[in-house]
Amino acid sequence: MALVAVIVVTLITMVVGALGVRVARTPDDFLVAARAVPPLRNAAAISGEYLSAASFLGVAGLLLKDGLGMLWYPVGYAAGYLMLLLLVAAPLRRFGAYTIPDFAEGRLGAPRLRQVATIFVLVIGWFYLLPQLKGAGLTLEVLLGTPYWVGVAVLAVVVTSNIAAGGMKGVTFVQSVQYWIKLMAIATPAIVLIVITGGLHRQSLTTAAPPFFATTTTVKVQTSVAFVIEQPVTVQARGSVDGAKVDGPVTLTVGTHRVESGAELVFPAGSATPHAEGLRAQSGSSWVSPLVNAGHKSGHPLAATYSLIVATFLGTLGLPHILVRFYTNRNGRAARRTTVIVLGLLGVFYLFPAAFAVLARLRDPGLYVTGQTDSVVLVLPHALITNVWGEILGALVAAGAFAAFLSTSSGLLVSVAGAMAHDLLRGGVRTFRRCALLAGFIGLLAGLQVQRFDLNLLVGWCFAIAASTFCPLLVLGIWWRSLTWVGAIAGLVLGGVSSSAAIIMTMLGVGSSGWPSVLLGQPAIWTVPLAFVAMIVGSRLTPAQMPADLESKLLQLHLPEALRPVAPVAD
Amino acid sequence: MTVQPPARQRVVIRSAEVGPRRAGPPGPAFDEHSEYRDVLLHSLIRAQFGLTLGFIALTVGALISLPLVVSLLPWLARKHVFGLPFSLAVLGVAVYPVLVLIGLAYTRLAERTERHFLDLVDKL
Repeated sequence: MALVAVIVVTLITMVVGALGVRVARTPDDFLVAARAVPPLRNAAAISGEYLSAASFLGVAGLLLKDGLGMLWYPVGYAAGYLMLLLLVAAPLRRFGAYTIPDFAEGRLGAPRLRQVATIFVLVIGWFYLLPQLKGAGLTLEVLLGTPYWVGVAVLAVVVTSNIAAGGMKGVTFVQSVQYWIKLMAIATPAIVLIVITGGLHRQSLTTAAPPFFATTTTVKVQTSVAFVIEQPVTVQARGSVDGAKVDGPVTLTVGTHRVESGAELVFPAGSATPHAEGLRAQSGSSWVSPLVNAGHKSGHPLAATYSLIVATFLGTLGLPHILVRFYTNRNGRAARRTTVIVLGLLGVFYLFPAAFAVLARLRDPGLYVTGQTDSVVLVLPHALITNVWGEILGALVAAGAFAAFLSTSSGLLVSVAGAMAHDLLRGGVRTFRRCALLAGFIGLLAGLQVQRFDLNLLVGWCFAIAASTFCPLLVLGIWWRSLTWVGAIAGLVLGGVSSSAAIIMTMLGVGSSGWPSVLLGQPAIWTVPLAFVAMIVGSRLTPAQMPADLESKLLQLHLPEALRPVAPVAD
Repeated sequence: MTVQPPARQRVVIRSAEVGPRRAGPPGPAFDEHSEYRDVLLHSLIRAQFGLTLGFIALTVGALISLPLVVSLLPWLARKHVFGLPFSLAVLGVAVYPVLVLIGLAYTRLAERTERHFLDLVDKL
C-alpha cells in the first residue's frame, strides 16, 4: 500500500509538471504568474519547496537519537524566515534580482563576482541534494527492503528526467499543493498516534534511565548493524548473529554484537534497549535537555547550540532555491506578507515531528538497536497500530516523504542546472537540459556516499555554508553602502572555503570529540563572523571599487512601491 | 493587535501624524527633488535598518537567552509545562506563535515607516 502511495505521488508530480512545461521558463514567466498568485498560495509554495527530507523524516529521527535539544533544528529552520523577513525580503524583491548571482552582479557590478557566487550556488545546491537522495534511499529501504542505492537512483532519475524534459519549473501550484500534502501526511498519523497511546506526557520521559522495551519487541535488522549490550539479555534470534546462524534463544553478553541484515531479534519486556554503535544511550534527564549535544560528555552543549542557531537562523536567507520563489511576489510589501505566512505554515508543520520521537522512545525504541533513527516517521504507524489503519497511515507518511524529496530536489536541481546553464555557460534551454542531466548525475554519485550521515546533519552543514557565504553578501549588499565586489569575493571565498573545509574534515572523521568536533562539526559560529569581517575589511581596502551608480542601486532596493514606476525596475 | 514598537522613527522630521495612504498614481515628486533625494533615501534606509536591528535584538533576546538560562538552571529541563516536558513545550510549541507575532509586528512597523516616508515626500 505504501508503494502505491509513493507511486501515485510521483506520477501526480510528473503529470502536473509535464502539463506545466510551457507555463514558466523565464523570469518573465514568473512575473506573469506573480500577478495571479495570492500570498497564501505563494507562501504554501515556498513552504512546500522548503520542507525537505530533513524536515519530514530527519527532525523526528534526530530528536529520537540525540534528544529534545535537537528541536533547535526546526526552530532554526522556521526562525530563518524571520531573519529573512527582517533583513532581506522586501529589498530583495524590490531589487528584482532573480538569483543570488543576479543580485551580486546587479548590486556590485562585477562579472567575476557573479562567477564566484555561482560556484557557491552549485556547492550549496548539490550539498542540499544529498539529504534528499539519502531520504529516498532510506524510505524505499524501509518500505520495500530494497538496497539503499535503489531509492537514491529512483529519485535522481525521476527528478532529473522530469526537469530535463522541462517540467516542474516554476509551477507554483504544484509546490503549494505539496505543502498541504506534507502537512496532512505528518499531522494525521501524529494526532492518531497521540490519541491512541494516551498522550505524550510521561514522567518516565524526564526521569528514567536509558530507554527499555516496555513490551516484548521484535527488531528486524534490514541493514547489517553492530550494537552495544550493557546488560546481558537473552533474545529469541533468527538469522546471522555474531557470525553464526541461529534460530532460537541467544544470550547476548556485555559488549558489541554484530547482526547481519535479514535477522530478527525478539527482546523480552523490560530489557534495556541496546544502542547501535555510534549512538549514545541517554538517560531521560539528558534526553529532555534543550541543548544540542546534551548527551555528549565533551560535546560543549552551549557552544554547539549557539553554533547551530547561527547556521540555521542565517542560513535560510542564503539558500539559492528560496530566493527564486520570492520573485513571484508582486512587490516588496507582498514579499513581507508572504514571509510571515511562511513562518506560520512552517510553525504548524513543525508541531508534529516531535510527537513521533517521543512516542518511539516510550513505546518502540527498537530503532536504537538498528540505528536507523531517521526512519522513525515511516515505521512508527505500523509499529504502534497493527491493523489496516496502521497500513493506511504508513502509506500516508510514505507519500508525504516522497512529496518532500520530490519538491525540494526539483527546486534544487532547477537552481543548480539554472546556475550552470545561465550563469556559467550563458546558454539557452538546451544547455539547461544538458546541465540538468549532468547535475542530476553528479548528485546521484554523491548521494550514494552519504548513507551513514543523519539527514539533519547534512542539511545543517548546508545551512552553515549558506550562512557563511550568501548571508553576509545579501545583508551587507542591502544595508551597507560601502560594500565592494572585491570585499564580497573575499568574504564569499573565505567563508565558503573555511566552512566547507570544516565540514569535509568532519565527514572524513577528523576531530570526533571535544572542541574540534564542535568547531568543525558546527562551524557557523566562527565562519559566519569570518565572512562578515572579510567582506567589510576587503571593502574598506578598496573604496574605489564602489559602483558608480550606488545611489540608484540603493533606491532600487529600498524605495517603496508607491514612488516607483509601475513595472518593477529591471536591470 | 497593538504591539508597542521598540523602534526609532527618525524618518519623521516635521510631523508625527500618520496620513492616509497615497491614492492615485505615483507623482514625479521624488525625482524632481533630487537634491533631497539622497538625504531622504538614507534616512529611510537608516530607519528601516534600525527597525530591523531592534527586532533582531528582540528575537535574539527571546530565543538565545534560553540555552544560557537552561545551562545555568538545569532543573528547568526536568519540569513539565502543560503536561509536556519543558523543552518540548517551549521549543516544540510556544516558540512558533512567538515567531509569527514578531514577524507581524515587524511588518506593521516597516509599512508604517514607509508611510511616514511617503508623507514626507508628499510635503516637499
